[in-house]
Amino acid sequence: MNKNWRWLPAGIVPVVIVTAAVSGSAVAEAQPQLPAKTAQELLEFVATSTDDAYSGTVEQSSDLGLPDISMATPPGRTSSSDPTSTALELLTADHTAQVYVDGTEKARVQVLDQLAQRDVVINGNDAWYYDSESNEATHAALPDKDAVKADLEAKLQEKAAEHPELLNLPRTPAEVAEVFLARIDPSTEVQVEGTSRVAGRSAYELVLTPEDDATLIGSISVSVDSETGVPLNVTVLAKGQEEAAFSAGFSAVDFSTPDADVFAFTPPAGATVTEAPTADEVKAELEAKQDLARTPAEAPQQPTVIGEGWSTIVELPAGTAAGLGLDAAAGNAAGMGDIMEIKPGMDPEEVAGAQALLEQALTDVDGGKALQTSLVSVLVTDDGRILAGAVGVDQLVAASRQ
Amino acid sequence: MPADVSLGLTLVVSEITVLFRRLRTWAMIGALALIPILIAVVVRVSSDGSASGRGPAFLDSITQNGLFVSLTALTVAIPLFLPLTIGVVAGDTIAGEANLGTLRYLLVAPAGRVRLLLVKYAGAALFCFVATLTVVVTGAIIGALLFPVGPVTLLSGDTVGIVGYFGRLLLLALYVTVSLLGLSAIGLFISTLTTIPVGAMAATAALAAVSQILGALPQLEWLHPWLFTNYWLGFGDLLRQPIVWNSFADNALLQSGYIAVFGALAYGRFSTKDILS
Repeated sequence: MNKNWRWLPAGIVPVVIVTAAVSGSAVAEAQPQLPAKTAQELLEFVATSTDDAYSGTVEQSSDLGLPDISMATPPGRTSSSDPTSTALELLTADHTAQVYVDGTEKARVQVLDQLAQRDVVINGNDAWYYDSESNEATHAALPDKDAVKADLEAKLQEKAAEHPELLNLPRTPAEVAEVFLARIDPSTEVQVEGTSRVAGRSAYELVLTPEDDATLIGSISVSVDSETGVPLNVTVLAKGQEEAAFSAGFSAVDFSTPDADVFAFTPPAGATVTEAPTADEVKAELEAKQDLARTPAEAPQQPTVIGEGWSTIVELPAGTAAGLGLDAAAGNAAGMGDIMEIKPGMDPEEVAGAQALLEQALTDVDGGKALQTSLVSVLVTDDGRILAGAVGVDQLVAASRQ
Repeated sequence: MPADVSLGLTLVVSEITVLFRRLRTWAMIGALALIPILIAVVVRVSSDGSASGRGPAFLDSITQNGLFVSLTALTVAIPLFLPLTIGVVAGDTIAGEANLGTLRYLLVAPAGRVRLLLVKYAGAALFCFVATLTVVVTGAIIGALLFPVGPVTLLSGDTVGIVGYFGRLLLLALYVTVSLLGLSAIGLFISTLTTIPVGAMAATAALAAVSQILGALPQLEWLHPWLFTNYWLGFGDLLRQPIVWNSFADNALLQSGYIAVFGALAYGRFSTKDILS
């Protein structure tokens, strides 16, 4: 008797699974039919979507050509005491976040790490940052509701000076899109390139192409939800790179108002709670630091902007970098210890590890050390200035000499 | 048909009785229970707080709230100890009977080969749940004995009461059990290949290690969603507020895929094999 047919299920089951997996992704890629919109109409559509309430899961991934640091630290565990390595981790690693938005006054972003979580909660006049690993909460009181949005942005920037990791947190795709849409100028070609499906919703594809030879940015595509105008996905392509250099988008989204409980945050018992300084305090503190770092004769300098459009270069004078955790000591050639702020109590092994990573990422160039990624370059000059922009390192070097 | 069902149930009950009458089963459960006890005692004896920020997840929180012992113990047990015990139980299913020479008696009518596979798999699945629950419950008890107990802080910074926390612990045990079902199916298949139970046990436990090593290599990122160990430490998603169900659903789908593939392979092998012992 031939019993070999009994092996049949063992052959069929894997085929069925692979077919289901392949056809599942094919369905997701089918292009929906939508009424045609011009680029201008689509931009206005996006501008009207700021008051919407929604929640969803955001996936962020980047391929910036930086060395992978996930092997250097134990999985899911980065030193939260060291802002530099946190920022590096957020830049190079992939992240998943739960996002809840209710109008402009309530928002919560939860960065989901393995067995850990980082939360940013904004509810009316209060902003909270909570890190489950260190069990530390930071509170910032936001002034007056009238200018909430501007203040909130400013507040986050100020808190970022204290906690640089805040600035790098993956935010909603809508916020990422805003950053790029704000840069549209005559040197940018704006086109609507068909439709797509994002997180099960039909979307228009808005593509921005900088017509600027100097910049590293190839093109930016924004998927705009066809019903609400909320940007669902942002993908940035670097010149000469086929894989997206950066992408942030919803893998699931729900356009119903999130439960109000989500935005209520009370720091848990036992957590270390710090009150973030107000705007004036931060300003005073930064100025004090600058005064210490330079001779009294030197006037405090502001960051200078070189060039315009997509190839803009920002130059930070020596000294201001201290507040960003990049302590480029004024006047001296930048050794690793100068670039990273080493605090007492930090694990020496961790410091050494982070320094090795920085060594690996930074290359020696004429007149300083440079970090070249596929989208952004940073140059730390020997005299302690920092130049950054979406251009090649050679352009930064040229700009530093002017 | 009802007679068939009741016969199947009788067989499952008898399989479970045999499994849990074995000294070896109790020795493994005892060893698993020792993990949270060891963690709690060590933390209690040396609670000078110098090790903050290092060691397995949740270790720092134990001194403030004893209920975290369960979580630390699970984090420690999932990569090595749980798969090891599952490997022993699942690897023994068929090969153990073949080695003892009892397999042919079991296959004398009325117990068919398919039914025997199902009964053996049910026994292994139940062991997964008992093993996980042992770690969680022992952790909660020893934690409550040695440390203060109170409302539990979740990863999102929100707080749940003790009742809500035990609800989540139960969900967590369920999650980990589901995570181990794929490995049990692999063990069942390997067990049909040999008459030497130790070989099947070692191969199953080794596969769990291999899968976790592959999962740690960033160069193989395309492979990660297909590894049965991929969601093993995803149980943290049940400790967020609101609970993130994605990993639970993805994990269940992945494990059922493994059960289908290796169940079919085990059926192909076992139903065509000449039983000589």
